[in-house]
Amino acid sequence: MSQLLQTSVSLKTNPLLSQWLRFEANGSVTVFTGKAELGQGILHALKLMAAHELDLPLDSVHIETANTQNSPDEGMTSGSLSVQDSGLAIRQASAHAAQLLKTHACASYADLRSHVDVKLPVDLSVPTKSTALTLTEGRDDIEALVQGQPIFLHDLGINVDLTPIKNLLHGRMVRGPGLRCTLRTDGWADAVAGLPKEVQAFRDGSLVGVVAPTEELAEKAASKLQRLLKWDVAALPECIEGGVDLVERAPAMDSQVFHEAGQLSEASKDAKRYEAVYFRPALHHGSMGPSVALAVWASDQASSGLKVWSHTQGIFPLRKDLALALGVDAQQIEVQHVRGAGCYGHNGADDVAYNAAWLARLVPGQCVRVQWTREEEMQQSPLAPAMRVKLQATVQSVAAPTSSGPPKGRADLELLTWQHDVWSQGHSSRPGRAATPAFKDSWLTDQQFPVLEPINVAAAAGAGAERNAIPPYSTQHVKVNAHRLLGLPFRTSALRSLGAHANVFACESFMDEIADDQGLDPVAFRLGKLEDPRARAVVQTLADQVNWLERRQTLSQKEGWGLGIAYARYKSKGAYCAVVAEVEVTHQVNVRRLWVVADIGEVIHADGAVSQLEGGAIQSTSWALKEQAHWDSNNITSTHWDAYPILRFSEVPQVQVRLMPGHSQNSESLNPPLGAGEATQGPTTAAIANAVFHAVGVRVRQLPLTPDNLAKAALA
Amino acid sequence: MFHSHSLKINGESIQTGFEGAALQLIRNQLGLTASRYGCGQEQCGACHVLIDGQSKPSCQLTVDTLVGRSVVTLESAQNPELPTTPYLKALQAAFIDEQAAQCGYCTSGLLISATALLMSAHETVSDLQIREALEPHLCRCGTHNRVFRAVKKTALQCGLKLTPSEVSA
Repeated sequence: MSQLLQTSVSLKTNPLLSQWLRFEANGSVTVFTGKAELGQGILHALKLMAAHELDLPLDSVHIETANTQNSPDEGMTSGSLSVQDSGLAIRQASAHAAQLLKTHACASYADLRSHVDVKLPVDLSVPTKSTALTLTEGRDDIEALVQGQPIFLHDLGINVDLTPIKNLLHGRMVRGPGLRCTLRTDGWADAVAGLPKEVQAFRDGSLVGVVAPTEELAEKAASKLQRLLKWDVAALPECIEGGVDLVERAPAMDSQVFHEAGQLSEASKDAKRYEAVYFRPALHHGSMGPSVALAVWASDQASSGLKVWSHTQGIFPLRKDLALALGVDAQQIEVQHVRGAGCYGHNGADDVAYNAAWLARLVPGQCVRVQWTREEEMQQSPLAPAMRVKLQATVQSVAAPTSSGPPKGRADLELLTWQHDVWSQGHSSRPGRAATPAFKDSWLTDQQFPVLEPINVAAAAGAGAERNAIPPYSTQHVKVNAHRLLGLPFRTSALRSLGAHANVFACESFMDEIADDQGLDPVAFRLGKLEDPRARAVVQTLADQVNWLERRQTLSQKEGWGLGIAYARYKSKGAYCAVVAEVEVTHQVNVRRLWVVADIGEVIHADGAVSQLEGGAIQSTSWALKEQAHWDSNNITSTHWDAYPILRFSEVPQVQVRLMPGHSQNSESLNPPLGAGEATQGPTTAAIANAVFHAVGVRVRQLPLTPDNLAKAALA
Repeated sequence: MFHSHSLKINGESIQTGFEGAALQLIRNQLGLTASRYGCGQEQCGACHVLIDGQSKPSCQLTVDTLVGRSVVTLESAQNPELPTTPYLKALQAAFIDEQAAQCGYCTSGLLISATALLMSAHETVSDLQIREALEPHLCRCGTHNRVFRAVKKTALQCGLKLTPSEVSA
């Protein structure tokens, strides 16, 4: 069974076979990718795809981790796109290689080297093999993880030999509070005079850092300077708890019509208008390992160059901004990716890489390791922005159902208008996109780089705050307005699913509110308004699996228990995903079970996809129940896990994940892969909120679903 | 005055004049990096080690409090003579079977706490006990249920009976 031809974006920008594969003398094959292992197991999935096409055992395929010297430039590892971008490119290159092997009657890929020049374009016409659920081998990196092997960037230079680099120095930054602050330089000389002689302190404008031969010394010196140095700061806005009124605090706003479609028609007398406002607070990424980086500048002038080790999501964008910030040519910089702790968006990786590069330049020839503290990770890495969503809809009953053609579902309730307004700061402050660097600390130097206003990526790239703001349901007229808040003193950027989390929470809560008011079953109402057969299949499969009506009925009899459903197609063009949540509301919301059904198109590695969907659902449960960033007039104050609690073992629901077959009904060919990493974020939170309403009759429109917000909603 | 502390790490006696936190001794001085730095405030569980058989965070403990005590890190699984090793190895195999990790940054700490639980259990272990043992550990990737299954599986392999449970993952 052959695939429909799909061209990967990455293959267009990196068209040569040699950019993806290298044939080794021992017959093994080295695969290059520009995508980064973030804990999601992507390197394993890519390896499976390559080995399958090359017809090699898994241990004869080696994946080279991303490096700016020899990896294809694939931009960011983000947006649940790695299988589609890198995977499809590697698959096509591997299929081409396998065909060359046959054509030249080579016994092994080693022999192929003498027959072909691999700098030829990948042949897009070579058919590829089906992978449908046949690739079941588990991740081979789990063994290293359970043995505690030093495979994290955090271990590099500690017990991983960096030869020929000697003299590892430890760096620490010293900062004033807030987005941008000004160092009072009159205290500088006195402050540094008291430091031990092994410690070197550096300053560029208001950017301050130290290096020392040991981590303890660097830490002590940094905290001493932290105590002694004084800063002029701009106050953070005073907000109601959680920042619900942040919209009113924003100095400026850029309002745009993001989407408008359909016909406005006159509503009849019996049409009913609905309106509701939903809120999602600012969130932290909360990676388990604070960001770290190493950097070294060549000491001799002849070969001046910078090498940086980073757990960034994009080695090339990082290199571009390092060049901008340091005023050197990008070709002089090599960025090597080494895995860090789990990454769910734009965390501190790029910023700490800049810190290490800045310090390393001041001690040429010596490698500087900068390890952020937990506090730095929470304060310095970008926040996921707070979001407000207002929904308005007009609904009208229709007397007679449609007479002919296939039933489109319930025709007796029509959505005449649907308006979605979203207020949020931008969802991207990533490096590589502007004319000046995106590193927060680079804005403090004497070069006076401007503070970059967070942006939203284009609709074609999945949008930012507007992601999933267009409802998946058929409506006569739909309009989406996006209001980007400007000038707020928070650096916000991408967190898993970007705006989709809040938008789906709002849309799916609103659907339930309308269904409830109209006396309709939430599943039936959704099925009636979904036209895409794959969407309907996902919702129906889930409803059947949980025995929706019966289970909901049974739970209605149990005090405090409830069942809720939500659906979304990620980015409106990615994975289809529906989630049912079963909750028990006591003094707090307890999520007992989650059921997930997803259609991610072709499934490469089922267990990996299930793990991503389940992990995402659990993370979303944590966002829904507990998470909210805090700040005072000076700085972000949710700097440790007591101030920013996340879900713990005792609070984790059981999760069942089911994947739809990779092909549509009555079709043999596989659907293109759609990515799995972010599909559950929105629907899980929405399903939980809907289950809470079912359980106790209280509609909570403000996240997180804490006892406080529950009580507030009950009194509203 | 220079103090020298003697303690045991993974079965070997060591002397150290290091005065900082135990985690820094373990990682930076001894190069045993399986114990991870996560928060430095005893709130996340990434740095747990066994101290005389009990699972404890090492990020705030000062080295002098370890004098005369036995510290076991995940690297100890290389040493077949330690009583912890069979438990660690069984847990490691179960974690691989269940593919119970995504990024794996929290894995070392989880294995340490699960080892302490299984070694101290008498005949039976309950779901609740497993959850309590794992409670100090944060996992941001959402692998909790897989971890829970892996620990349960190992408990059975170790000859422990699982007591009837209210919830099972």
